[in-house]
Amino acid sequence: MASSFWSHVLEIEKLEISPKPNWLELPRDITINILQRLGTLDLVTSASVVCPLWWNICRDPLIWTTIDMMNNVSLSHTQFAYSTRLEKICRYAVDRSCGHLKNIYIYKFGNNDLLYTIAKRSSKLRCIRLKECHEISNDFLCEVLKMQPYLEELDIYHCYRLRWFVFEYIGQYCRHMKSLKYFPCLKGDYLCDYVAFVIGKTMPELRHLTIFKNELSNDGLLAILDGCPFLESLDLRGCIYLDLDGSLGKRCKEQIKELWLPTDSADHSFNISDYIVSLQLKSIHH
Amino acid sequence: MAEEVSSQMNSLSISETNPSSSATISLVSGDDIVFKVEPTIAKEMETVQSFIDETDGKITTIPLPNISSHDLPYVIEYCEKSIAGKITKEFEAEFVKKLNNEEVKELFLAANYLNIKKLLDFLSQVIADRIANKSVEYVRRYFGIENDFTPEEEAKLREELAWTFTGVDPDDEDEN
Repeated sequence: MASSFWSHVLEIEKLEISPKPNWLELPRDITINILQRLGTLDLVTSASVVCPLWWNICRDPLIWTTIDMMNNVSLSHTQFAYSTRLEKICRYAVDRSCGHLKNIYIYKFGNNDLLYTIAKRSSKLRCIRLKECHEISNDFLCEVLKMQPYLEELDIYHCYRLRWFVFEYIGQYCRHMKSLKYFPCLKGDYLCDYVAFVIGKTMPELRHLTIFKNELSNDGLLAILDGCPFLESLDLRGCIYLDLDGSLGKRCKEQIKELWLPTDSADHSFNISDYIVSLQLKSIHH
Repeated sequence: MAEEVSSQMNSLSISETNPSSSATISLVSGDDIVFKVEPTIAKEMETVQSFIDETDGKITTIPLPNISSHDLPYVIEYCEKSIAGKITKEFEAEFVKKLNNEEVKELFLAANYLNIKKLLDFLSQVIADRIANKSVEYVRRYFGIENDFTPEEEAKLREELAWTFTGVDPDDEDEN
C-alpha cells in the first residue's frame, strides 16, 4: 500500500497527470465484487462474454454462490421456450458453482428434477426462494430438504403445489431454520393449528416467520411464541381467526420487534388465471 | 511542496465545531484543490491513513493525484455519514441519484484507490444495478472494454453457451 502511494507522490512532483485506470487492470477481487452482485441471467448471457478476462473471472465458483433468477424481465413470458431456457441457464450456473452454491432464488420456472439436481450437487444450501414455481411438488421439496441440513431460510411464494403439508418436514430436516415465509395459493388448509404446533416444536432458532392467510387460532400462535424464543419478526397478515385484543396480543407486541397484524393490508392475493395460463403454455410446449 | 499547495488553498472545512481535536488533514486533489478534513475522516480512507502512519503523523498534506476536486467532496460526504452512522437506504438512494454513469465509475475508482471498503461495496452494487438487464455491447461500452476474444476463443465460447441463446427473440440473437 505505502509503496504504491509513494509512486503517486512522485507523479505529482513531476506534474504528470496519471492516466485513467483501465477497468481490466483492476485487481481481480474488485471485479468479482461487482460481478457477483449481478443476477444469474446477466452473468451468463452478458457479463461472462464481455472479454477473455471476465470470461476467466466467471470461472471462479465464488461468483456463483448465489443463483438469483428472480429478475427475468428481459425475457418474454409468453414464449414456449421461456422456462426451458431459464432452466438451462440455471443448470449451467449450478455446474459453475462446483458445489459452492449457497442461495438459490427461482421465479416462474423450474421443476422437481431441477430442484432435486441442485440439492444433490450442493449440500450446503443456506437459502431457497421459490416464487410461482407451480411444477414443484411437496414430495420433492421434502426430499430436497432432507439433503439440506444447513438450510436457514425458505421462502415459498404462490407455488401452487406446495401446501402446508410441507411444514411438517422443514424443521425436522433443517434444524437451523432462521427464516420461513409462506404465501399459499389457496387458503382454508385444514391443518392450521397443527402447522403452528409443528413450527413451535421443530424450529427453535426461528428469527422470522410469515404465515400468510393461515387460519390458526390463539392456541397455535401461543405454541409458536413459546417454541421460538428468538422470534423477532412475525407476519400474521390475513390470519383472521386470531384474537389479539387480549393478553396474547400484548405478549406479541412485547416479544416481537417487527409485527404485522392480521388486519394489516396485504396485497398478496394469488391470481388463479396466471396459474391457468402457465398450465396452458406447458401443455402447448409438450 | 506542502506550503506551495496550501498557498493556493481553496479550503473546505468539514468540521468547524471541533477545535480541540488534533491537526486537520489536507487532501490535495489531482487539480490541486485542498480539502481540509478531520483525522477521523482520513481514518476511513485506508490509503491516506497508512500514509500518515508511515510518516508517524508528521505529514498531514496528502496529494491524491488520481482524484479530482469534483469527486473528492462526494467521497468526503460519504465518509462523514459513515462515521456518524447515518448511512441509510434513503441517504444512499439520494446520493446515487446525483451521479451520472461517468461519476459513478470515477467515484468507484477513487474508492478503490483510497481503499474505502464500505463505499466500494456500495458503488459495486450501484454499477451492478446499472448494467443489469443490458446487452453485452452495452456492458462493454459502459466500461470501455474492447471485445478482444480471438476468433478461436469466440467460437469455443459460442459453442459452450449456444444453448443459452436458443429460443430468444431474433433481436436478442443479433446482439449476441
